[in-house]
Amino acid sequence: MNKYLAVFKINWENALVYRLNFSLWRVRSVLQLLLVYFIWFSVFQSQQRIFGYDQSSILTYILIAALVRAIVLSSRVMDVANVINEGSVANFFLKPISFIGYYFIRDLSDKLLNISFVIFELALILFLLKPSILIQKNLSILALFLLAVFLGLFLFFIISFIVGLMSFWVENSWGLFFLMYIFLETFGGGIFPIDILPSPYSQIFLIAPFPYLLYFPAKIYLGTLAVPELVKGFFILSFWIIVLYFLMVKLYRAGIRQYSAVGH
Amino acid sequence: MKKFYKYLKVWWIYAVNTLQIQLVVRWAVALFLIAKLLRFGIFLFFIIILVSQTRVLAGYSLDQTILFFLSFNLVDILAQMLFREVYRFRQAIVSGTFDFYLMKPINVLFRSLLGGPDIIDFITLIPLIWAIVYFINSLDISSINLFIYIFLIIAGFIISMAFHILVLSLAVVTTEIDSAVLLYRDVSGMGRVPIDIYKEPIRGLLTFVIPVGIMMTFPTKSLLGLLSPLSILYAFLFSIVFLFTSLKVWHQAVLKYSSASS
Repeated sequence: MNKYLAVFKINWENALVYRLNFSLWRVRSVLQLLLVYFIWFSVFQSQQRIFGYDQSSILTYILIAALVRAIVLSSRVMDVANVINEGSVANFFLKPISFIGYYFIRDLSDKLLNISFVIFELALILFLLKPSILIQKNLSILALFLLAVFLGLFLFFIISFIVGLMSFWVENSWGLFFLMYIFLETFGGGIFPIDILPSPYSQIFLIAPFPYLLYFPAKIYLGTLAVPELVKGFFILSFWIIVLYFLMVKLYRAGIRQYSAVGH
Repeated sequence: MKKFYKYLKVWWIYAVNTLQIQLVVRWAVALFLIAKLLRFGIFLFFIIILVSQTRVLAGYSLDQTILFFLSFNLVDILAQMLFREVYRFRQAIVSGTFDFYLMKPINVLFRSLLGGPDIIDFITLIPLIWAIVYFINSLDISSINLFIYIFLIIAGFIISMAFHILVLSLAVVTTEIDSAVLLYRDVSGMGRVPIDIYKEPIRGLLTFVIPVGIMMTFPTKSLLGLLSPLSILYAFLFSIVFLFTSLKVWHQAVLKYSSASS
């Protein structure tokens, strides 16, 4: 356990060494948030209600999605692709540390750092823009929200890791990562809530894993999901975690079986 | 003129070489292309479903809002296509490859800025220009406004080029570039929609400090006849001054360069 704590600590210290890089990364997140925030803000200048949302609920959705993004989507798992391509994955075969566990702990460390920043950023946005937002006080809803975020964090790690593991078979997995991020941006719910889409499309997208990374937790926070929708959502989320976890482990074992290291 | 042809020929060799490298992993190129088209299509779809409900976005109709988005993409894709080498420049600095750039009988800024054009992006430019022409035709635009639009698109492109030169200079001085170039992408991305949607002081910042408004919003505004002659003059002067400033900064950065590797 101590070795994983050491990984956590080293990663945290590493991030603080490259402070400029990290700060710019956070500035980028704020800019992305401002674009989406102002599009929606502008829409409600001429309408009271649109797609079943009022201004307060949509702005709350956008800000909560930004918070969830910082927790769920902050990840360094794409490094896995580089590590495999460069051959340094062989180091992990010699060390008494799990390859998957190492990257998961690194991710947790990154997330903690990102959370501390995003809270400050959101507080600044709330202070400067003074949007009317919904403060959720229902403890059961908040508990379900935290559970969804926690499960979403696992799901994203597993999806990213699977894409990274593709480097065992393909030379360049950046195309796959890029495509994954586009799917995330689109169907994750970071730009718009999935349920503003016409019903057949939104229902199809809600079967996929992506909406459970941002959309589902943010919707839980709003408190507008009925019990059957919550049960269905958590069921699909758990289903994807279990299925993709086994796929990840299987791919990892298959990858190291056929891996051959070259070098000095 | 002879020098121009020489550089055109060199650029063409760079482009062919880059394309050959990209085509080594063809399926990855196809994935990138699909992902880019998907990103473009989804944001367009988002604008359409949003503005078709509200009728206007910051006072602009759906067709006008789409034109803002298309114009943003025109400047953005042109810059992405031509200045792709900037994204690889850090590696040249930290590995010492930049020393070789300095030794060659080719302008070092030309090599660093235009040395790896992404011709694949050209594929996305064709339907984009067709769509812009389609919307311009549907909006009953005067020829003088069309002329000013093209002029301001060029000004926007010059500003984008100046930004990329500044990023290169930053890389020479600090060896850090990755976040800076991505930060530029996100700042300019705020121009996907007319900057009128932003509240002050953000709108003022995007017009006068970080010239996203000039690059992305001014061209379409001029097309719609919503830009004052003073703003057009300001855009022109700003792009020229910004370009010369970036060139000066680049020159200073190269003078301070000390080889990073052996």
